[in-house]
Amino acid sequence: MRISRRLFLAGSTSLILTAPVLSKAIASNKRKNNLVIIMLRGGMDGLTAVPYIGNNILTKARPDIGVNKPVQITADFALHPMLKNYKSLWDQGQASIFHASSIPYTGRSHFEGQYLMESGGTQPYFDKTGWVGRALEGAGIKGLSISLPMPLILRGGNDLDSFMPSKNKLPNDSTLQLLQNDYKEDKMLWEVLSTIRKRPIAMMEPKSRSDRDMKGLAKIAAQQLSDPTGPSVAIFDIGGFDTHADQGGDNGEHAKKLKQFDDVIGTLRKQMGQTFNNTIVASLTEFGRTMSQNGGSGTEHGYGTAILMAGGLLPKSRIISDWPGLEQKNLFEGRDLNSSIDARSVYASILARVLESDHQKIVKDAFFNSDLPDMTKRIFL
Amino acid sequence: MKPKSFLRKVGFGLRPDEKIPKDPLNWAKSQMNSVPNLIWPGKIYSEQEMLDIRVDFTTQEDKIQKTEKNPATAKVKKNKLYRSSGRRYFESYELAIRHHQAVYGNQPVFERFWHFWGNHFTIIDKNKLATFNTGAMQREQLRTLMTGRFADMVYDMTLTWPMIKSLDNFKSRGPNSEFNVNRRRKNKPEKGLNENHGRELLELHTISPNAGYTQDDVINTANIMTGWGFIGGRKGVEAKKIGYQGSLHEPGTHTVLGKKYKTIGFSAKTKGKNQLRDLVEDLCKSAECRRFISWKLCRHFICDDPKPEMIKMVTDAWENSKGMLPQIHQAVIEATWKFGKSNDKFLSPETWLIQIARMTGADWPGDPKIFEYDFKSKLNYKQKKIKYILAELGHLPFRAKQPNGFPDTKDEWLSQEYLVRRIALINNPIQIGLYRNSLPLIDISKKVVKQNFDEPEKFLKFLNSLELKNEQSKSLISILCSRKVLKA
Repeated sequence: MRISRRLFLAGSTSLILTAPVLSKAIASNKRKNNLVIIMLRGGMDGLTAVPYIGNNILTKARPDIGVNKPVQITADFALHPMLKNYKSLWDQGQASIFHASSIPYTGRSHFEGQYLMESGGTQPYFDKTGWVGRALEGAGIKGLSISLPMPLILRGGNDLDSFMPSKNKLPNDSTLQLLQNDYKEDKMLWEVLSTIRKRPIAMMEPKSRSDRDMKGLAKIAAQQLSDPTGPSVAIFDIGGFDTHADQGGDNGEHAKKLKQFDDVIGTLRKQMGQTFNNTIVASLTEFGRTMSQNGGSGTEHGYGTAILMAGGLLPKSRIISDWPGLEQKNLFEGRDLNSSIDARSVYASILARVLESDHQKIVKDAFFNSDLPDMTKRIFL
Repeated sequence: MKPKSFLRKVGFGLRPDEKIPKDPLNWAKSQMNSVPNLIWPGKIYSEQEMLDIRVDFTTQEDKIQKTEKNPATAKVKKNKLYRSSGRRYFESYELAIRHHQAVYGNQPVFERFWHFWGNHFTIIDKNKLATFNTGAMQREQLRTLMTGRFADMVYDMTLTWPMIKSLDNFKSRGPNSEFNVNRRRKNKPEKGLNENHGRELLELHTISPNAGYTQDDVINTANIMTGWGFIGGRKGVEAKKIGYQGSLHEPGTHTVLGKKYKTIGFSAKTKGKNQLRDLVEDLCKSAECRRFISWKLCRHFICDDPKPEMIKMVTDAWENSKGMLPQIHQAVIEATWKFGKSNDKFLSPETWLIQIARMTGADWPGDPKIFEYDFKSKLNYKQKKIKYILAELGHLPFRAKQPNGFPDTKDEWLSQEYLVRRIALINNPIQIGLYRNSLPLIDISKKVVKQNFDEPEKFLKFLNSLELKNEQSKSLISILCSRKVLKA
């Protein structure tokens, strides 16, 4: 039986008893800002997404997987041709790229790297919460993950939901109430079920197949973020960037994945309407890839990569970088694009802008008070 | 620990008609000494047959893609090919064999370990491996390796067709191999090393990053692995054999973790072939490997954060038996019996699904006869529902996205949406083979509690209070999605 409005209200009443968290925006009657993080798993190649075109050093190192039709955006850099929606945002002054940046991890393991890009720490498998979760906890704001699991990056927050459309229906709330009683002795189970019971009706309705592709999910995220009482943070998860073989150039595996990323951004832009002006979208990956192609027309695990940002909270379009160069002597360990800035600095400044907080507070709440320079001016002035 | 909880911690719980073993510990341990036969009565396709079917399929699909210019005709042709090749059929079929074995077999503890190793040596979801190859490989190779040495399991799994395919080693070539020397002489661009498989052999399959290896160790592991790949392919047709080609191997001695691996022999064809075997033997002998694998086993069966004394029981057995898997498995079972607590381990979706099928006596995964297929028709719902349901629950075992496989802790498996999927599934129990004409659901719920709960009284009392009203499905949800059944 589908949840009816009456039962839904019953559910939310019981929620109020469990210390609800009002969004700061509602409390102060202001427009809320939104953050969308798009996680790109497998190691997104910053040199494919945003190739350096200042000279031919990159095309020489990648004879079979070079981007042959780069879309030039500055004297030195171009966009991959698949990033069409991103390019149109660039043209509207709503896209900025932080190039040659990485989380502070050089071990080249996906799984350690992905753990750290989500935990925001420096020791793999150590911190049990994520940097977005910790920041949200401090700010009292809702977060939503568009995925089956609750990703590490959001953990630690106190009003979170994970969501994927499904055709199946939940039983009525009195049955859920029975389970809720049974879960009393398990805090985590209890909290997870509480959130389910207070979900808005739109999320409870059976969904069709088309809701499940990347664009469909982006639509749902856009609806949720546009709702003044809805979440302020959404997390996406796109895998498959680990192209050791047949990476491709203009087309091929890496290009396909970049297109998915671009589809999410395009759909958010279209569906969010005005809300997009109060939003910032940013990519996140565990590492970049080697400068040169390998034996199988692919690339190996590297270090520095690019952070692609978009949204109306950005003042203008630009490439922000202390470009380290691609000459052999400038490569990290002689093989990878180097990282000129700890990516966490960038994310801290983004969070500070979205949460209307300051960089240092975010560094303290979310990044263990690490030594992270303030990037606010470089990104937002 | 309490016997009934133990049976769910290392197995899948008791069927409605099953007697509780008199000595649960030895009942479980004795299952590790032999590989149970598959009880599936239908056709069992050999790994080679599946490889033939696969290569036939990929060759024909490729041909359609290249020759058929009209998209509409191409679609019709492909659809026909999908049916004749079983493109949409085989994964469900493999899953049905796997679940049938777990639900009706008499060595459920062995099956649990089999599932564990399948995830340890994950074949990622790419290149149609889940459709044609992963299941057959796990049945035919992985399963039979479980009564031997861990080192042999690692070596053989490293060289399975799906592993070589998914981790790209067939594309890796020694920078100074005969192959590349010739290319340089002809002024052709070199085709170099691919680190992917070498890194995962160290990180995921044997010693883990805690062993402190460096990038050079990864490169040298990849060097040692060069030469291993496909042999005997033709243009436009995938090769079916894994073998060693000396001409692709990076010559010379390679050092990994301080140890030098020399080449043995003079034949250009086989020179360097010994290095992988030597390396795997050393990796599996190391204390880091013992610790990592033992920890992972304890985490799977006992609790998310296994304690040193649990792990020590397993590493001791490993040392004493020189890495024999039956002894290692038995030590895991003993450690569970000795240190395990009831309802301490949150179960993965697939394990939970199999447990509820076994405990309720549901018609799951369905009569093997319904899985017979003519390779012409559209698949019917019953044939594909096992795949559909596991996908809904987020746990198609042959479709992990990354080579570290599916996660194994509560933090990863418990989210709003994961829980919604489980509750919604039981809300419509026909899906798992609990039909309206089978026992009333409330009686099934009671049977599950009586058979499988160490302290059934409270739950039986609750179920009795429901009986007067018409709350059949409520009773089932309240038991199968209870804290006690979600965890073991």
